[in-house]
Amino acid sequence: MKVIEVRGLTKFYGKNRGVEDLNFEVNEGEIFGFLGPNGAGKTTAIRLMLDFIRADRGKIKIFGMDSKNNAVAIHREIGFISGENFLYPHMKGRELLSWLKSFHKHKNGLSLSRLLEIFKLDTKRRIKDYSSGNRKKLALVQALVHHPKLLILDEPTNGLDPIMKENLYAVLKSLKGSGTTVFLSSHDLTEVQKVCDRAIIIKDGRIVDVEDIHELVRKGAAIFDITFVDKPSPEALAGLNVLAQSGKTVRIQTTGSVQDMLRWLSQYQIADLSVTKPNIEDIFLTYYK
Amino acid sequence: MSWPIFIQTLRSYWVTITIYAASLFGYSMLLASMYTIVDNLSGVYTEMFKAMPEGFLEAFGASNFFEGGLQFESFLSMEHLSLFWVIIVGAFVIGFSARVLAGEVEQGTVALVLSQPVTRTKMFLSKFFAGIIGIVVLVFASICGFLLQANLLEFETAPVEGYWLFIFVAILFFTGLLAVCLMFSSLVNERGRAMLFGMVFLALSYVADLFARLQEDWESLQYFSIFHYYGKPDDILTTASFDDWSLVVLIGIIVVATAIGLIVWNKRDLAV
Repeated sequence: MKVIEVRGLTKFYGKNRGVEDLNFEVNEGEIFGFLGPNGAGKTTAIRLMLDFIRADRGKIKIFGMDSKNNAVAIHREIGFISGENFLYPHMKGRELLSWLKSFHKHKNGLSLSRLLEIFKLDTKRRIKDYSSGNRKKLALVQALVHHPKLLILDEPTNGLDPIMKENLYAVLKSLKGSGTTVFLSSHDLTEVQKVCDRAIIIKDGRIVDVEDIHELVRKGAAIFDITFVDKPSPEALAGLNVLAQSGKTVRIQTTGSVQDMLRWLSQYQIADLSVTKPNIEDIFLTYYK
Repeated sequence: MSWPIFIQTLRSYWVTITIYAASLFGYSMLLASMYTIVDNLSGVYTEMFKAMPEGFLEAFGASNFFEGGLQFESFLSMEHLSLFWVIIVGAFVIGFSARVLAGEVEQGTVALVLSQPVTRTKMFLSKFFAGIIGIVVLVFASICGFLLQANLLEFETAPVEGYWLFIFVAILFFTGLLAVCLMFSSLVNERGRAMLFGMVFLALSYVADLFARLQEDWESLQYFSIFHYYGKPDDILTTASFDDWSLVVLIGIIVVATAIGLIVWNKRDLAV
């Protein structure tokens, strides 16, 4: 079942592009990554999905319902974390949680005490006295406490220490196990590689690629650090994905078969050669070159 | 209406409302206690006011000053209810309305609220009704202050029906102001701009009403001012009567401004 279906989604802020002709689908029970640098349109897409802003063109369906006309029914099953930790500073943590829970009275949520234990959060203080990390934890707890079917997370680990990040990943994986779908926008590509099943790469408001994470990694087959006996001519390197060159040493990333690369290399005299598997960040950068 | 938003709005405003209400109650008692002093000097005031244009006296709620001496209600109208009280309660209304919509957009908390299962309409109306509760508390605090002090000092006051009617009119007037200010607040992304629009509206309304009273040529200007439909507080208090047309216009302002505010709030992008 498709939990999110986005078709031809376009939003301009006056003359400035927000997102343009976005098309993607998110399946039930998957953790879906949403990758892109600042200004790529990630937050705009999330705001459109949650009906905070209105699209110029295109449709969004969540749980098979139109995101604008059925916002209330959809939001009943959604947990959301904004990237900016927008919370009421004068409220105490527990006041905020109990207030937000009152919107979901009919639902049996997750155990609040369990979540507070996982994230080691003190809810007796006022939010204005929280550190940014604790605000993020509070935002996470409020998004999770009513046990949503869909979690929309905008940069959820910004400000969290490594232990808390691992705790969050564990929670996300356990939610996935219970059928919850997660839409995760993140700058931390290693994090996406670690927890996501598929990912979108968005650039300048447009989708560059939608891939299975393992396919994404496979696409960037290998990085070759080659030291030639004689400096290769520019013509010889034409058509290759050269990441860096310094004299006779060249770093090349293959995006196709490794076999082809080895065949090409056999034409030259090689002084040294090392092959490494690229991480997702290397692959991501190739989209932004 | 959404009860969680309504209750939360009141909870976050209870300190402000309490401070305003306590201050208005105390100030009303203090002012009422000054009635004896001013009443003793009514001869001096009468001579002074006779030299002033009638429109000027009307503008400051002192037009009934000479009729049968200085009545307690005329004194309240002149000293407080015609202008200063409107400014004080108006400041609350303007500040409140700017914060609950534009302020939420500016602060980003609107995203937290609207990611919950609640419509924009319910959010708007919950804020609107919370604002009315604030207005009711402030109006009652003020009138209770007057009446309590009058009772303690054994002043003769107009029948209680006039006070009930004035409470009703005042609530209606400030609700009209609230609806207009919420309409402004729904239009903009910054609390400061929403407050500015509210203050300019109130100031222009007052100036229009004042000019209309002072200059016969500009008499028709009064119909564009919300103050015109507020009427004369001492007339309402002493005669327990209020112009039907003004009542209709005040209700019309509330309905139209709320409808425009709701349409704008529902249609616009709510993110900065």
